[in-house]
Amino acid sequence: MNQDRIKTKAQAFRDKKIVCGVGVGLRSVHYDHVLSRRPAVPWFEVISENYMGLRGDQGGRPLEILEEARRNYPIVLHGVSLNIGSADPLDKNYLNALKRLANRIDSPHVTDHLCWTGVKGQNLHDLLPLPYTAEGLNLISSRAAQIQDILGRPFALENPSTYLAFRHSQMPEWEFLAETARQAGCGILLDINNVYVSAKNHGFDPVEYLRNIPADRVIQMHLAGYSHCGNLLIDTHDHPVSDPVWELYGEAVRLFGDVPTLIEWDDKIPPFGVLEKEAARAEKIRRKILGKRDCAALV
Amino acid sequence: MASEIAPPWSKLQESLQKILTDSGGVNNALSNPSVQFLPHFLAETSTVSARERLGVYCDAYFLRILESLGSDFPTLKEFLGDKNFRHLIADYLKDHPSRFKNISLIGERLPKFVSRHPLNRKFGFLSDLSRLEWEVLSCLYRDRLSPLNLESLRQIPEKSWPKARFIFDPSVRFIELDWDVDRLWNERMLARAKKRSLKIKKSERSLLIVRDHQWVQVRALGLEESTALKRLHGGASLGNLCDFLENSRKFQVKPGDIQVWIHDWISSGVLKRLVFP
Ligand SMILES: [Fe+2]
Repeated sequence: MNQDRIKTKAQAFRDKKIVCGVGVGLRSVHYDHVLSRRPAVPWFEVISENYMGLRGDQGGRPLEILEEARRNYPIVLHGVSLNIGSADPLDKNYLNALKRLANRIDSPHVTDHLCWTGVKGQNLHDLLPLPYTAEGLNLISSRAAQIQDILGRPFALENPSTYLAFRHSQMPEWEFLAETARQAGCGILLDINNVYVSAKNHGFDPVEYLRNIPADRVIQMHLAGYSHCGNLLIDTHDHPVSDPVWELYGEAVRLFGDVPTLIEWDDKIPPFGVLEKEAARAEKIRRKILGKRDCAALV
Repeated sequence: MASEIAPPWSKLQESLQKILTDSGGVNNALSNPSVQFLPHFLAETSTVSARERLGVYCDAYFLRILESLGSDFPTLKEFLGDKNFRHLIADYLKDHPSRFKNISLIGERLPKFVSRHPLNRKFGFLSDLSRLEWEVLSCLYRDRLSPLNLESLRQIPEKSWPKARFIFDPSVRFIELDWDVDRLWNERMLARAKKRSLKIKKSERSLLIVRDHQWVQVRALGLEESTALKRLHGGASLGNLCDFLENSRKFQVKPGDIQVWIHDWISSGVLKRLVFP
């Protein structure tokens, strides 16, 4: 039986193992601003691999900056190279390095994507889609449980934006994600923009997707911007959150309640104030739906 | 939903990887009979074909790595211009696909690759320039020791100084180059046209690379300073160094010069500890 590490919100608050409100992705262009001005952001998320050093355990300047930021803010690790869905075995060296980093900054939970990133030792540095089959469900749920055990803290899988789907998939993505989280005892990082982008790219109903995600598994949400590319939407993270995604976020808040949310912006990164405005807009939606209670009072 | 004929997990991924990393694009990749089964397993809509869908991933693979290498080798990219840089990276990825979790490691073998590339025959210093940029990047990822307090050195009795040995900051690297590409690197903020007009000369360069509080410093060392610093780095005591310089006919170093150097090496973060064995 896999150990379920997804606590109720009340438990998580008691243990101070949770972030709350709307955080922002910390990127290198904003290091100086964040360290010197200390903007009023409740928490940050960072890309784990950027702080794990080139080789060995030296983290150099990126890790020094992360530790400096950590003195003022909670920080959550979000990975892009776990490669959980690969035909290759899990990379234990990577997981051990990730665990050391998570311990060092006491990341309340660790997240990565429901995808594969390469096979035969290669890394394509992209979030590649999986066929949603029973075989895949077994593989990924057992690995997610194993990863959570190695890390010794809650682990959550994020739904990626996808541009292709497999004909031999046996279930929709929401069912695959929900079942993986249940079987592994892990969490879900629900990216609302990715739900919308994939829904448009494959022609499914994004609200139906949300309604089929178990609320007790959702430990974090993402919001980001997409771009149009011909008849597809691409998850470029280089635009403000779009209106239909804000609308879908409102639906998600109604369904999942007070879940910490993060604004992601990875390309053509604007001044920090623009990210703060996006975060304020998300906070406004949350408060409108959840009432004017602060997040600790929502437990 | 045709699970009974689904290809094994590994075959599906290996074939997809082969298609997405083909530098000739999706159509070229799909001319290979070993992957032609794959589109049959991909869902299509009336508006977007399987090939178009594969194309999105294929473009993203190359562009993401191109962008990352462009930010890790900014001077090389600026000098070559977008077209040549793109061409170089496409060739590089054919030989050295990424096997790394951290995307920054992809550039590790670029300097060696550049030295054999036709572009280096045209601009002979490209290999030195890429080596310098790689050393700068890897320096940034090394840990630093806390600074050595110059005031605390005043407490050291004069007679102890000859025995002193210095501990260097772990980020320190020395590199020897054949071209003065450090000038180009130091002027990297200049507009491209101005950079192109900088004449890079063939001249032996001994460079010191070290992390500072903000980023990384690159400094060309003269023969005397380079010899002195490398001797200390190799474990010589200050007394050994002074004897060597005094007895060497090659160098014209005064004791005052050494004092100035040491002050400078400490304040620039090169020397971090003093030990008296
Ligand atoms: Fe996301």
